[in-house]
Amino acid sequence: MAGRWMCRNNSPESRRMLRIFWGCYLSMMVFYSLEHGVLNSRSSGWWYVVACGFAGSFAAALWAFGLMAYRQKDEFFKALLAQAMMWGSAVTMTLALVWGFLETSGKVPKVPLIYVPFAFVMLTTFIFGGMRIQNRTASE
Amino acid sequence: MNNRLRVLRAERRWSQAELAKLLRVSRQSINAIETGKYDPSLPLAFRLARVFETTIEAIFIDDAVDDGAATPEFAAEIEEAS
Repeated sequence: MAGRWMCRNNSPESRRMLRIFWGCYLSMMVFYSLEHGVLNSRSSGWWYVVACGFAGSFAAALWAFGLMAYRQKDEFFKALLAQAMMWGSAVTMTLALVWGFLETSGKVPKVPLIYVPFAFVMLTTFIFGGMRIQNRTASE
Repeated sequence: MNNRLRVLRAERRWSQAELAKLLRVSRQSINAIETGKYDPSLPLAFRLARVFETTIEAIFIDDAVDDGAATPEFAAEIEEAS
């Protein structure tokens, strides 16, 4: 499980924050499913409710991630987390920019903006995991 | 920043994990400091110095001295220029 892999050797506090983070991420997916499945036949008011729920889940996920970094006692881990978030946002923005440019010129299909937060979270998670593996395999 | 952490640790026959436990950090942190990938904060540097019963200067090698920055001569040069 990605959460377990990310919080190895870390405090119960970090593990709690990661549980909140993945919980929020799961609720994001639930709201996303609602948007695509259940809501199509509903009134427009429900769309706003789901949009707010989705945004709230994403904000809570970011809050949990930030708080985990802030309360982390291991400063090297904290630095890695900050670096991963910076790389994650940089890669997401670059991809969004390139895709948006190609989309405008009609070279690629239109992709909803709703995928951007998912891309950011997934990219940050994988970059962070990669950084940890790179440091774990270093010599004793 | 270069440091003598690996040498000091080897002298005491401590593993990275043992030193990490003493300092309450991860083994990866010790490895990153030893290999120069990461410079520790001042509180962690003080903790390292305490663990090895030495001074921070005895563990970390100040590269800035080599490039002539932050020396009295450099300070005088700056003062002269201003």
